[in-house]
This record gives sequence, structure tokens and C-alpha cells, in this order.
Amino acid sequence: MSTPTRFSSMPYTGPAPTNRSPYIPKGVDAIDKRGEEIEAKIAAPYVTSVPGQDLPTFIVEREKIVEVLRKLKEDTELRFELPVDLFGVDYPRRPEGRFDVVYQLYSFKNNERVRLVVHTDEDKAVPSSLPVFQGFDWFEREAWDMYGIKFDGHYNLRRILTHEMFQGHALRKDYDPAQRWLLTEKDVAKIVPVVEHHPEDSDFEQVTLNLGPSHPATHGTLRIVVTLDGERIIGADTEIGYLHRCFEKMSETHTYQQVIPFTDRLNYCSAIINNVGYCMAVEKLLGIEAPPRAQYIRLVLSEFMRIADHLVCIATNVLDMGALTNFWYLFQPREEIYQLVEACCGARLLPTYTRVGGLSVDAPANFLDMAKTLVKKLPKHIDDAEKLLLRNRIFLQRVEGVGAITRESAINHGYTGPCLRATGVAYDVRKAHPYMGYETYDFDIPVAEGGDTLARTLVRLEEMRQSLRILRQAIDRGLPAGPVIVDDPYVALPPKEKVYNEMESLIYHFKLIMHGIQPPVGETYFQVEGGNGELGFHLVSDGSKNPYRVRVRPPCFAVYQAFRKMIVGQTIADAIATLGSLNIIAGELDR
Amino acid sequence: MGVIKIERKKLTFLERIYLWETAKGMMVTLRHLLRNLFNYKDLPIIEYPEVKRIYSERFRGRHILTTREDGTTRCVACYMCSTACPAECITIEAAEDDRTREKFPARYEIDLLRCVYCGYCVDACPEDAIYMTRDYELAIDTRARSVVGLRDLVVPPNMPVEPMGWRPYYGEMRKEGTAGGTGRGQEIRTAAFPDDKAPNPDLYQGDVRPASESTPARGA
Amino acid sequence: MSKIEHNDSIIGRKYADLPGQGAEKGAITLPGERAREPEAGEESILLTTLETAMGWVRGNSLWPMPFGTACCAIEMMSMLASHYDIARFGAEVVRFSPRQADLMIVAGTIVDKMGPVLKKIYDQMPEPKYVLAMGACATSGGFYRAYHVMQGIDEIVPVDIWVPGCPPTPDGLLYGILKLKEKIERGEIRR
Repeated sequence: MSTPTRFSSMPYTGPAPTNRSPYIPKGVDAIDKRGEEIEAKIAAPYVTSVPGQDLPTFIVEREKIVEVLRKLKEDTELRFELPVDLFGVDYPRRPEGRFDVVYQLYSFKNNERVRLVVHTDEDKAVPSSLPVFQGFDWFEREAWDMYGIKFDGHYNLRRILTHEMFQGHALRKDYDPAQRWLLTEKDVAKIVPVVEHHPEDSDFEQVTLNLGPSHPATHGTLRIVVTLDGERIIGADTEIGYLHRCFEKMSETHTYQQVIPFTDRLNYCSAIINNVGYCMAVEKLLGIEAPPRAQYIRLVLSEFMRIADHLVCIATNVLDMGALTNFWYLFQPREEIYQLVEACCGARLLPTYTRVGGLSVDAPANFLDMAKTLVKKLPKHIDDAEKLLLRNRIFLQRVEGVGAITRESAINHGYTGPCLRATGVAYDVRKAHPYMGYETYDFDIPVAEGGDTLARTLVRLEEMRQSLRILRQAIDRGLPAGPVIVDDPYVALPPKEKVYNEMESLIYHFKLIMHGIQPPVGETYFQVEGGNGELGFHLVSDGSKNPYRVRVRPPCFAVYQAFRKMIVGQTIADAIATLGSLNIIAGELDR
Repeated sequence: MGVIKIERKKLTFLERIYLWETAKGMMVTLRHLLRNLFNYKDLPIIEYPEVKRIYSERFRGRHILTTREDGTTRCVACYMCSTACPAECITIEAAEDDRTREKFPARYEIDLLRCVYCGYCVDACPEDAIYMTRDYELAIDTRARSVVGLRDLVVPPNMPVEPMGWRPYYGEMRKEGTAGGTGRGQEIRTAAFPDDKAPNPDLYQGDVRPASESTPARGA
Repeated sequence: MSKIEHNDSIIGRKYADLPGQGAEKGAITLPGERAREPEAGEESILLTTLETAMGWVRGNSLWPMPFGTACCAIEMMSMLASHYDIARFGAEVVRFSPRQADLMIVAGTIVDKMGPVLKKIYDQMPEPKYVLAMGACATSGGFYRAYHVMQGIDEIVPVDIWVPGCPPTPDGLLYGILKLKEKIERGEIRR
């Protein structure tokens, strides 16, 4: 039997799926209605709305995309200002063009999202959206690198994640996942930063300096090339991809359950949040919801991991600036947070704790006691760090006004998370699109003015306190009773005593392992607030056991692309302080 | 929607002259130092080779294959663990016992270097056959030794719970008479592992001992 | 030293008991547990003594160069930080300059794009130099059997110690370093 997937004419040849009815999102009528309203507002013949999606979705003609993006951004009632995501999807042999380019925008004003889809082909170029959204710069380069989608008018359309000698485009469906290409030292391309304003009266010669990728301040995987005029940076360029581990291709070759360990390794400082984000995306596709107990444990661990993430960020940031004491003091509580995670699931850093539909195993009996002890101890450590930093003149001089980004620029570059909040925009996914019951907790969004390194540090410190506030409320409420995973044999493994003793459960167990979870045909997007900002998972399912496409919306990627502009005019020491405060996690940046 | 605006406080005169703040910073450090000096018991340090950290009973370390009361492996070579493994690090070759017509693993190898210790094999096992231990001391000095076979994995029956890590269930459960098998099984072919002819001289050199002798329980 | 009890900490610990104690005593066969026995007539007395002394000195003053790229680097930092404190083994002098280091700890995935960088840094290290591959990705590529991931760093540099785990716990890594130390002291290191 072969059924074409929604957008493609490609026949599906996997094992017979258990659920072939297409995915119907929650509240689809309201979404469709809103989609029609937006379509009426744009009022253009080249925009067609697609009903039945989880976001208002439009198919836009290829040549007109920039115009539509501009309209959506500048319309006073819509104000889709934040470029969230841009990526490709490959549907070989589809008549209307092989690739989808999917854009996603967010509007702070109306707290809503919109998705635009452009059909294109190998030889048809899409106009570059850079004039409207600077934030799509690297996203377009990535789509070129991974799919070979051309963007007309992009100033620098070269490979971004893979290396110079790479042949072909890795995420195309006809690319062999294990095909590697050799790179030797002599093949490495030279990067020369563009210098825009070079002062004529300078006494110094221009020097181009390469930092990284193996440099203590660049966290091992980032490469920055700066052109210096004396000590001042007059031009900078960044090269990434030194940790491109092919997450998205690997997800296409593994089952939905097997992708969970891969998501751990995206933002490895707060791995549980990635687990939760991915699992909730699959759950959304399946139309199920994890039981309250599982949601509660997910929430508590997510908040602990957020604290750990911020601790690591601040500790390494000040370590780069030469303050070793804070590194020791801040790594100590982190160790105890990992201890709690390890007690739950047996691994410290990369837990693989959640499963689609809940958790792999219930929390240990003393979970709440351990959490209580930790919540009591953590403020002391945060206070210590604050005392050592915030009234310290040396630290303040290193960070005040350094690496500043304006609010408009931050939004235009697709900033989210602490880096956006440091510019004064109160956007937090936990408040904007509450999930896991965040709406029932009382907490505030910390914002700061200035968008500089100090503001980011202040926001992170305050966010840890807010996380502690959530945790205190959660601990007061106590663990909800009930199971930790849904009772659905097509999603969750049956309990072991049943597997050992009952034939029926054994068959379900066997089927789930062998055939995997088979969500309905469709696509969905789900976002959570990660340690660095909005972490989104866009899933495309063709009904088989492997995802057709898993797209991660990495917060670091958007944040880091503005870095080369932020450091121009400053010294190298400032650049390093700035880099630390952005908290670039390479696993998430390069995937 | 609650939003806190963090204000930056201007440095006061006292803070600007720098010395006072330095002294306060030193006080924090000194407090830590004194606390550590006079309260040695609460030092965070774990003096590793002498003192070992106790990980929880869910710790995901090296794998073991459990045995039934009569000393036969529980594993029935159903390939579930190797299917569930995202790293594809488990290699199984099944054989059939002539007497009981039951399947058993003629070869069962785990590549400890490939393994990502996610615990999916334990979750996938329908026979209660594969567990993970709390053993994290796995460093090796030859890559060829990274592949462990039946002889390193199989443990004798009635393994104490103490060194066990990630396992399918916690607490008591009826183990015998599983749905998949009769519970009788067959003896492990210790004298002549079919995989002894495997092209890995490093792993299988030395004497071939019965599995029950070669791997006594840790902590026993 | 008496048994250590921590009243406040949620981290449980025990005085040299679990796990791997059996491994130390040779009670269980762990992969790689069998140490190489020197062949007869391999060493002369004078050289043996000098080499033993050299090995002892080298083993107790390793200067690591952390080549940390990914998740393992975080665990490596844990090993450097207060709880595990590698300073107890004379190896706290972390040098980011390969010219001043003799142990390269490769922690994290090495992708093809990083390969030339790794090779260059290895070449810059002075002899004698040792390489410790930490974690599934650095040792074998782990579960990334993918188009951009090196399937183990021994494709380009010789490795002395492999530490499995994803990531290995800091204690697991310390065990690897101690093992390397023993190996250096025994004098059997491939160059």
C-alpha cells in the first residue's frame, strides 16, 4: 500500500502504520479563521492560506516572498517582527518543486505566529530576505549548505556548517547519511573579515588575527577572525560548524524514541529542556498529553537545569575574564543539581529521561526531599557570586557597555531568551505560550536595559532566582499522584511485569520496539524556553516510524550571528567578555 | 504578566574607592577558606581513588547479562536490544539448542566505545536479561578491547542488588516463567564459545573459563 | 583517614567500596584489565632504573591540554573543579597552549571540519606526549555514524587511553588518567 504524504507525491514504503488519519491540531478552527484574517490583511493573489495546520500557514509565490515578509513585519496591526526560523524540507519528485522553504515569524504585539511556505527547486533561486530580516542571514546559508537552495541577493552564500571540501547537500533525501569527505589542512579556506570603516589617520597597521577554534575563550568550537587596528577591532567574521554532528540527518535515520538521546546533546548544559521540548512536540503530533506527575517532574527538572545552565554560563564567562574563584564556587552547586538528575535517571549530564508520553521511570522516593535541600542551598551560592561580581569595580569596568546590542537590532536578528530580555523585551515562552502548567506558577520575567554584557549577567542572575521561586511553589504543591507515562500501547512501553507475564503486552512491547511510534501524517511546531531562548522543534511526519524531518530552532544560532557586528569597535578582551555572556553552546549552535 | 526591571545601581563612593569592596570580596573568600579549614567534613571534594562516590541505583554504567537460577543466560537472542539501540553497538548471533529447541545468543557483543549508555537496551529487553551496573571505571588502553563478549557480560545467578544500576524495574518482581520463554533455557556454552573464533585476539586470549567462574559478582 | 560523612550534601559517598573495587583486585575481567607483562631480557638494569624514575616523574606531573569541544568538556570541567580536583594528581596546570602541555584530553565530538585543527595541535605538542580520548564520540564516533563526524580520533592521532561513556563521569575520567599515569610509569607508551 502506498499513500502519498501531504505535500509530496513520494510513495511511502515503510511498515503499515497504525494510525493513518492526518494530524488535526488543537483549536484548528480558530487558527484557520485567524489565517483567513491575515490573508485578507495581506490581500495579495500570491498568498494562499493552508487550512488545518497548527499555525496560520500560507503558501507564498517564490518571487514575492520578500514583499510578503515586509508586509507582515510593517503592518501596524500584525507586526510580525521576530524572525523565528527558516529552513528547508526536501520532497524529491514533487511536481511543484522539490524543496519547501519554511519561514516562521512571531508577533510580540498579538503574541501569535505565522508560517510561510515557499516551493522551490534546485535551479530556482528564492529572493533573499536579508533586507527585511537580518536574522535570516545564517538560516539562509544553512538552507543552502544542507539543501542547495539558492538565495538571490545573499551577500555571502557559502557553506556554514559543513567544511570546504564537502560535496553535495547533506540533508537531501538522496544523500547517504554516512558519506564523509576528507578535509586536510591545506584545504581550509582563509577567512578575511570585511572592514567597513577604516580610519585613515590611524597610526597602526591592520592586523588580521585568528582566534580559535581551539582557544580557551572560544569554548573549543568557535572560530573568530578579527582585523585589528592597534587594539581596536575594525572587522570581524565568525566561522561555525566545528561541532556539526548532523543531528537533523541522524533524526531522519532513527525512530522517534531513538531521537531523544540525540536531543540531549543539543544544549548539553540543560539537556532535560531539550528532551522535554522534543517529546512535547511528538506528543502534540500524536494528540496526547503526558500525565500530571510526569509534567510536574519535567517542570522541576527543567527549572533546575535552567539554573545549572546559567551557573555554567556565568562561571565560564567570569573565568574567561580571569575570575577563577567564581568558577569554583559556581560549579559546586551545579554538581548537586546533577546529582538530583542522576538520582532520577542514572546519568548526570545527558539524562535521556523523558519519553514520548511521559517519563522513562518514576522519580525516586526522596525526590522532593532532595529538591528541597537543593532549593535551600542554591541561593547562598548565587549570593556569593553576586557579592563577588556586582559591586566589583574591575568586573563592572569589564562588562558595562561592552558588547551592547540595541533592542531593534536584537529583535531583527531573531534574539530570544536572556539575551533579548537584556535589551528590555519581556518575551519568555513560558509566559507567552505556557506549557507544562507554567501558567499556574507565579513568577516574573526579568528584563534589563542596555543589552550589554552586564545586562545579560544581571538577567541571568535574576532568572535563577525566579526559577527558584517556581521551584519553591512546586515543592509546596507536592508530587501529583498517578502514573508517569500515558497508558497507550502504541506510544509507551507496557510495564515490565505485564511484559513478563502477559502475551498481549509482550506483543505490544515487541511491536513498539520493532515498528516504533508512528504518528499521523502532518507537521507541527512546538517551542519551549531553553536556557538560551526559544528552543523549537518542527516535526514533519510521513506516518512511518522515523521522522521525515526534524528541525531544531536553535536559539544560539540566531544569537551568535550578530556577534561579529557587536564586537566591532571594541578590544579583543571585550569581545571575549561578550562571547561568554551570550552563552553559545556549540552543540546547539552547530547541531 | 509580571515583569521585573533590573535597575543598575550606581557605585557609591565607598565602592568606587575600591579598597572597601576588595576587602568585602576577600571576606567571602576567607569565609569559604575558614569554613573549609575548620569543617573538613563538609569539603565538597571527593578524594576519588580512596573515596568513591555512590551513584544512585539507576546509574547507567557497564552492562551485564543476567542468568537464571540454573546458570543459563536469560537472553533469548530476540534482537530487541540491538533494534532499540540508537548507537547500533550490540551485535547478536542467535543459535538454537538442539535439546530444548530454544534460542540463545551464540555471540553477544557490546562495543563499549560506541555505546552511549542511554539504557534503551534495558528498557527493550522482554526477558529481564540485560542490566546496567554502577561500574563507571571503564577506561581501556587498546581499542580492540572495547568490544566485550559473553564472557565479560554474563554474571552468575543471584547477583546482589548492590552494584546494579539501571534495570527494568525496582523492587520485587516475579522473575521466573516469563511470557517469552519457558524459564528452562539451556546451559551457557562456556567451554566453547562459538564466538571464540571471533577475529579479536585481544579479547579472547588466555584461558577460557566458565562464565560462572570468570565473573563473580562485584561486592560479593 | 576516617570514613567521610557529609551532613549537608545530597551527594552520597562511601570509603573505597563500590564500584570497580573488584576490578582493581582483578576479580572481574574488565576489558583492557590485563596489563602487558614485559618480555624477558627486554630491559637492562641501568636503563630500567632511569626509565622508572623518568616515568614516575612524568606520570606525576602531567600538564593537560584540554581539547574540549562538546558535552564531555563540561564533565571535564567538573573534574577540574572542586568536587574531583585533579590537582591531587599533579595535573592541575591546565595549559591551553599545546607547546606547554604533554597530555591532550580530547573531550567531545571531533568532526571532519575540526580534524586538521586537532592534528595541528597534536603536532605542536612536544615529546613525550600522550592522548586521552574521552567519551563515545572522541573514541569511536559514538552514535553519530554521520557524514560530518570523525569515527574516532585514532583516525588521525595515536591514542593512549580510551575512556568510554557518554559522557564518562568525572570519576570515570579520573580513572582513565590514573590508568594513563600507571602506564607512563610502566614506561609503555606508544609514540
